[in-house]
Amino acid sequence: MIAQLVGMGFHGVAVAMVVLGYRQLKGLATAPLPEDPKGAKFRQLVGATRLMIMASLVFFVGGVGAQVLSATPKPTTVEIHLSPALLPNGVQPPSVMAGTSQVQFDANGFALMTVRPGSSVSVVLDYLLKNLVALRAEADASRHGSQLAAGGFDDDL
Amino acid sequence: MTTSDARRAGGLMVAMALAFFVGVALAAPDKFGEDVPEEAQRQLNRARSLRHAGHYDRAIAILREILAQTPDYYRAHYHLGLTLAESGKLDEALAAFGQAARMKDRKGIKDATLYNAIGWTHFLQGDYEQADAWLERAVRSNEPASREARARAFDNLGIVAMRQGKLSEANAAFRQALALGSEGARGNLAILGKAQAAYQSISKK
Repeated sequence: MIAQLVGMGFHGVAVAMVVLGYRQLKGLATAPLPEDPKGAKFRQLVGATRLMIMASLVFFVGGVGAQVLSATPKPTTVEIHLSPALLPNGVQPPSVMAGTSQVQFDANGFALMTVRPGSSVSVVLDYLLKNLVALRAEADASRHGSQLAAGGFDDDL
Repeated sequence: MTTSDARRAGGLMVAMALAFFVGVALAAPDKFGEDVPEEAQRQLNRARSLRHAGHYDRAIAILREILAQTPDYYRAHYHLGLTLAESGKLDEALAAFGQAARMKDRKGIKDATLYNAIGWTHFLQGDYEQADAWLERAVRSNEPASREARARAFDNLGIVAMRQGKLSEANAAFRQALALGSEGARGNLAILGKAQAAYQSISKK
């Protein structure tokens, strides 16, 4: 039983110490009175019991501390994937920011993103924005009778 | 193609075949030093005029006949590609330009304008990535091309970059075109300037 309690960590060790201390006290209470006029043996047993109780207190405090530390939030790992094959020809995939770091996608469009609680994930569509403003500028120019002058083909070959 | 066009093209093919055999002896170096019958060169110019007039089918028939007689003729492949592209047959145009590229490599012809033609055809197909790659090749190539041809390639590159949302790259390309004397580059830069201003104003918010 003691071995099982110790296997449970700090709290287990603390309980084990209490159990051992109890057993020791019980042994002390039930044992025949020693013929020890100076009480040396008695003091030794009481001292050991006191140590057991102190040790169990130390382990209990350690157990509580470990529990507090283990309750600190750990980074949450989220696996995402983006398939460039689904994007139209020539369209760049958006850049994804996990907090302040940019997520790197592999050639197959897969990426592993680590996001800490409280931080944000942002999808940056800078390319799309630029594309839209360019198309709008072209459309505005067209309304005013002008358009992009393409070079086109070379005819003088 | 109408019946009269077909008849005319048929007659033309016969006349050209005859002229070809007569004209073999009259072969003369073409623009790129190709030893091509003078008749083929004359017919190529005729096809070009027909293309300018919008008679694409007749121009294509002439160019195909020229190539039947002189399959290695680089400029004929190029003009066939051009005519097919202008008539909207973009896949066939790319095939013709591909043939031109093979002739070019085989004969060691130095000419950067073909890359612009291939790039622009890809652009017309909506394949901006390929267009970008070929136009980059056109402007970076050390092979000879006229100043106008280089300016044209830069203008095209700028438009492809704009369509891809690459505003800075478009700006650089249009500036290069302007430096080479492109008439349209100034207007292109004005339109692009508005796009860049709009982007700046949105991204500041």
